[in-house]
Amino acid sequence: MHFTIADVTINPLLLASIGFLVGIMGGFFGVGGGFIAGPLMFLSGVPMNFVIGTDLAYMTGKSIVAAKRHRSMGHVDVKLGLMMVIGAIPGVEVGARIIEYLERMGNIDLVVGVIYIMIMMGVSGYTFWEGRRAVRQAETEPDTGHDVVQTRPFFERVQGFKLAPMITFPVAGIESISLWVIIGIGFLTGLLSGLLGVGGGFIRMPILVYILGIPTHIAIGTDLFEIMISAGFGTLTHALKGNVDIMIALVMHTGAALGAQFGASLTRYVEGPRIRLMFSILPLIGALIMLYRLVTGAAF
Amino acid sequence: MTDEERSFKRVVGSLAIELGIYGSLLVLYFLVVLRFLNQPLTRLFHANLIVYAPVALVLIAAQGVLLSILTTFLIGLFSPKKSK
Repeated sequence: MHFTIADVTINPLLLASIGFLVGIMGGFFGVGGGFIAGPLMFLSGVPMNFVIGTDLAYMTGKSIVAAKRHRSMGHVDVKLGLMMVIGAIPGVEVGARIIEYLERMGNIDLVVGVIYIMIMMGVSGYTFWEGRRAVRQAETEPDTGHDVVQTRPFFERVQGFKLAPMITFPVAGIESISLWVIIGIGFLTGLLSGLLGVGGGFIRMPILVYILGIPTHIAIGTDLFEIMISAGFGTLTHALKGNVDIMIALVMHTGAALGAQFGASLTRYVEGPRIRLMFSILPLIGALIMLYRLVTGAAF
Repeated sequence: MTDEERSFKRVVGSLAIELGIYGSLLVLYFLVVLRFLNQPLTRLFHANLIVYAPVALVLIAAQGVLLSILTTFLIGLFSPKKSK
């Protein structure tokens, strides 16, 4: 099929297959999957200037499907998602300003690449360590519940921070928490997102679980809800700059729609600690792709 | 084998059937809708990006909602009731 906007010919079934695979991952782990979809799109022939914008458009559609599915299972805290977006928007802006500053200083690719690899390795290592301990604890002490988290004392202190206004998130199981904590965490994820040029799903999901103490399944659903908003905004801005081939996104999304539904449905069969343990592989893959880019100078 | 494992196996099995039906519907969709949309969208892209941007967002969101309904229907049709 010839995609006349990007002026490229690609087999639509290949694009739908990429969408399907990344869709399963997105629905199951609550990530946008841009760090994997981007290189795969580039390798399948999508021009580099269309990769990021088109990926965001496809991510918007995929997140709508997955978030809708998670919401039907009671896994989305809409109020929490919207509150975090309030903090994330200035965070993305500050991250983008830091990037501009680094560009003026030179060596931006190396600096951002090294920060990216360190954060991803850190997230991967921690979720692996914590997930493995939590799986063992859930097996040996079944009374502790299915979603054992090792950072309980830490998130209890975070939830105990009393600075008005205090708000409640019944879906996420938070009885009372300072609005400033939620906005602050939204800002932090937005900052990392703007600084590292990623959607932020594989930073936000662990933060929701480990810092706010939200059950893994609700963290995944709420994360997808936020990705839907941020990717939608990103689609608009990139489309205005002429970086979105919506036909490619629509074709990829046909595969992703089923993949995202299937991935979201699979979360019903896997307990929180096991999802986190499996999740630990994703940031590692992201770090390895970045390392490959830094060493070889590849464009994706 | 536990009930949950059986249920999981049925869900994976039903995915294969869903993929078959969904794949046929996709081919139809590629041939009818997307081929028809290709040229008008390309003209809009080159003529007016300010209109193209929201149209692109609406299209992907609408497809998201429509395919979500379709896949939910297919999953509901083939998934075992016990898994719920």
